[in-house]
Amino acid sequence: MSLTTNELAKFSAFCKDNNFHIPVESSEIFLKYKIQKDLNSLEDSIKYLYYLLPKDYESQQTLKSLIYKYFHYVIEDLNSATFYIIDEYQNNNEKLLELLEDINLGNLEELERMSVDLIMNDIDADFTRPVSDLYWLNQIKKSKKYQEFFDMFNNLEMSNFSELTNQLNKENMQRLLDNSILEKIIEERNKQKTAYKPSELEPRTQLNEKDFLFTNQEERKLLLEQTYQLGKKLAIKYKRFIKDSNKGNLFFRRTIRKSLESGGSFEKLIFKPRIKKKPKLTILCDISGSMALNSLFGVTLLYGMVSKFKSIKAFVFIDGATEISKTLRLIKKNEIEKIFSRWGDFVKSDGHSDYQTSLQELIKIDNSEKGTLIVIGDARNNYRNISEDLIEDLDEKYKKIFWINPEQSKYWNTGDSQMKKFEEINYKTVEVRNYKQLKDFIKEIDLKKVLSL
Amino acid sequence: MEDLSLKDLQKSGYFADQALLDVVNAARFLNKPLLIEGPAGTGKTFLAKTLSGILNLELIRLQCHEGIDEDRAVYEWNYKKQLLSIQTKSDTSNLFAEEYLIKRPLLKALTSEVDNLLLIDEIDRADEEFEALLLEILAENQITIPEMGTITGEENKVIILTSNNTRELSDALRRRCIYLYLDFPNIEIEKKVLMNTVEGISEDEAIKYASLIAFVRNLNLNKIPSLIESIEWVKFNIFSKSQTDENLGILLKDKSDHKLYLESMEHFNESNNK
Repeated sequence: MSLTTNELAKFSAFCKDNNFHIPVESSEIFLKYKIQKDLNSLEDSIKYLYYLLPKDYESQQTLKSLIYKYFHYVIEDLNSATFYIIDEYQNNNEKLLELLEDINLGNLEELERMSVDLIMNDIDADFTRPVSDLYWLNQIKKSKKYQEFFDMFNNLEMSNFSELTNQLNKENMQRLLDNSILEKIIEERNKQKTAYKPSELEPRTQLNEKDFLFTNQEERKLLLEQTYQLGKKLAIKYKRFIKDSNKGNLFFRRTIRKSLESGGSFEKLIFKPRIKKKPKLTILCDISGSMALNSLFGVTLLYGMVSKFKSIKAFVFIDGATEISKTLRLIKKNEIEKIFSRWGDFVKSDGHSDYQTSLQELIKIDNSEKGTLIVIGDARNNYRNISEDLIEDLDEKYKKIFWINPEQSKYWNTGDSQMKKFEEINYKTVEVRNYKQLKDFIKEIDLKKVLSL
Repeated sequence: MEDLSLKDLQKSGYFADQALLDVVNAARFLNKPLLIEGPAGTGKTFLAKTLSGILNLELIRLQCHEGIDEDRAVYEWNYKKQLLSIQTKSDTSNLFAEEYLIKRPLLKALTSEVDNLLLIDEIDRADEEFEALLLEILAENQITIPEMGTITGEENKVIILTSNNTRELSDALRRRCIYLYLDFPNIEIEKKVLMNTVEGISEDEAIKYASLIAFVRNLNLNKIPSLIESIEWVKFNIFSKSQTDENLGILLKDKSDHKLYLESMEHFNESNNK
């Protein structure tokens, strides 16, 4: 059976419903290829659909999950093998070998069966209890059955060098199993939604649109890497902008000298570099408890920017602002999480977020004038007051203020959130809960408009 | 046009899986440029070089950098020659003829009569404005020079663009290309590469080193070792018949990475001995 044009149209409509737009041109290319190459089997067609349509890594991943949903067909990616099959498995444990081979072929049934087994039989879980999903995962990880399974890997007799491969396989297996268990737990808890779950906790299938708060360890690692790249990209955008506006007056002496090469005609004009004040960019990130995981993403973004460009200043605050640009420049990418273990360094009085004091301090420490400020925070001030003077001072000190709020916009101004006061003076206020929103925000920033003096 | 097979690639020392080959074949068949993205050191440029070798194409390379412009990439008028000819010849009617044109890589690839492969390397390092310059040649296979008119090329070339993804490429550029994401090789492929490039290595040793390198890449490193670095490291180890921690500098180029590697190897050995 082959993929008909009709079905392709249906599939692109399905993609559109899931916020993934397939351009007509791309479908045309695919159809052209299909007709000329005479692709008969459905599998081949789907495979080339995947090769020819996407134009970047993210859309490739999105399309992959959509294809799985629509056609129930797993696409083998480049270097897709998750497990490395070594000869020693054959002599020792055939069951393990079968399982690994199955998973490599994209057959996850056995893995799912195992995770259901672990959830149902081993612990007496009361999923209505208001604790996080990770709590239940840890409970399961402590169980005997879970550990017994991984002993399968340990009990094999192996030559020395296969041990490394075995170790890799084991780690991989652990990751996959944990993810699968977590998925099942979320499913199970959603069944009992009335007791505890608000609707937004439903698992999202696409990673880009998944809230930072609900990512698991593996997804977080991937997203943090991408966030770091985004920070770098924003810094490069900023750097290029500054370079652009650097041309000054005509450099007469060097222009004349250069023209001698071509017999006195001015084929190339040389300009003096203009010495002017660099536009200042300050970023402030709330790292208090209420921000939870969001602050990790915030600080990673800061790191990406600061490591690329020196005149960007980064601050963090809980109840008092601290500059961390220098610290960030000294550490390496894999040490970012360690900053949070030095929580005590950033607490100045009681450890609850205090926007009033922090912003006042920021105005004092930050010596830039008429710069741009980007704030990452939820504006929850623990029922403390925010004075009118502060708002006025902020408005005067910074030319433009961007506010990134990780909360859903419908919760702004509820409870102790003081978003309203800041919104009045902000140039732009956006809700950023997931990677997609963050990317859109950075893509849309037009530095020429924002930073020009 | 015949499709390439994995054997062809392997003969010239490039090891890959079928999925990569399918994309390359599709790009060749549709006569569209191929955009390869991925981390540094995964063999993006080498793929282009290998293809030019197999398909017998002349390799024309344009290395992009910040501030690259039309003069460096497409064409430039030879002002000095024009000036001289004004002074010597009485007839100055046609100063913008082809003899005064200096051809840069893009124009060279377009007008070349020999089949060629145009490699536009690290496109993400060039400015955004430069991308717009490329659109015409990528989509229409032509270049417009205001003084001379439009030059259309023959369909005898393969275009490959590589990017390290330090900057978001524009949608207009992506739209015109076929996309390929190249990641670090898996153990199987790394083993084959080692067997092919390192002299005097046995299969057992190749598997051993391949799995060791996969293990290292899986650590939380600052700079993940590239394919070339790992090959050089293994080469040296085989040559000196020992694997010591002193020559770790060939593989890992960061102080904290060294520490992480030594710690995790120690940890691993301990758990083995128990």
